[in-house]
Amino acid sequence: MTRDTPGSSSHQPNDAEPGQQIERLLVELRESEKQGWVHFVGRREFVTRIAAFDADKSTRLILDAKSVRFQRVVPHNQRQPKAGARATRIRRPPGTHLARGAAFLLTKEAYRRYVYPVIADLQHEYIEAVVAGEELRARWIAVRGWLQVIPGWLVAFAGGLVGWVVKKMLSS
Amino acid sequence: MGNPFATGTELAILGMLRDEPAGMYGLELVRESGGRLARGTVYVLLGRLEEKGYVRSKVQRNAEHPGLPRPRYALTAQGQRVLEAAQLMGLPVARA
Repeated sequence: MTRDTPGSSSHQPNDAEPGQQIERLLVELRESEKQGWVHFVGRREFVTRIAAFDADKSTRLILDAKSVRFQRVVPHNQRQPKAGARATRIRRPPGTHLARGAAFLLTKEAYRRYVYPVIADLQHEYIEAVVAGEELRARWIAVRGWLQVIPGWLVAFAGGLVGWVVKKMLSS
Repeated sequence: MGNPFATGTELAILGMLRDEPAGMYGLELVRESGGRLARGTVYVLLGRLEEKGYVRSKVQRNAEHPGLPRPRYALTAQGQRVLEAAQLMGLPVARA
C-alpha cells in the first residue's frame, strides 16, 4: 500500500495546469487502488474505497487548495448506484471535532496535557486499524474512544456544577 | 509546582522512561506497565509529571499519517535525579 498523499499532489508547484494536476492525481489514485483501498489525502482526512472513475462516472472529484474531495452524484432518475460501483468516502479520523471543541472549551495547558494525547492515540489506533483492513476493530476503537472521553467530561461538568452551586450557597 | 514527591505509579513511569532514552508514547507505557497503568489515567499521571518537570513531551508531526501527531514522553534530568534519589531511599523504581 502506498502512503503517498494525493493531497500532496495538489500542493505541487503551480507550473502544472489544474487539469494536469487532476490527471496526475487520478493516476496516483488508480495506482494506489491496485495496492490497497486506503489512501491518505491530508492530515485530517483519508479516502477509502477509491471509485472506479472510468467505469462509473457517478463520482465527481473536487480538488481545492487544501484537499481532494469526492462527491457522489446520483441522477434523479437513478436512485441506486450502478451495479459494481464502489462507494467512495472521505473519512475524518474520530475525535476531529471533539479536539476542536475541547481546544475551544479548555485552557491551552489542560487541552495539551490531558485531552490532546487521548484523541491523538484514538486517531492513531483507528487509522492503523483501517489501514490493516480491520473495519470492525476500527469502529470499536472509535466507540471506545468516545466512551473513554465522554464520562470524564460528564464527571468534570457535574463537579463544576456542584462547585458552582456550593459557592453560590456559601456566598448567599 | 504541586507535590514535588513522586508516587509509586509515577516512579514506575519514570523507571520505564529511563529505559527508553528516545522516549515513549502514552499507549506504549500502558502496554509496558502490565496492567498497572490504565488508558484513562496515564495522561493524567504524565501531565502531573510534566508539571513537576520530571518528564517532557514532544510532538513530532508525521506528514504521512493523517490525524493528530502523538506526543512522545521522555525523562528530564530532574526526573533522572528523582529516580536516583528514590533508589537511594530503597523505593521500587523498576518496571511495574
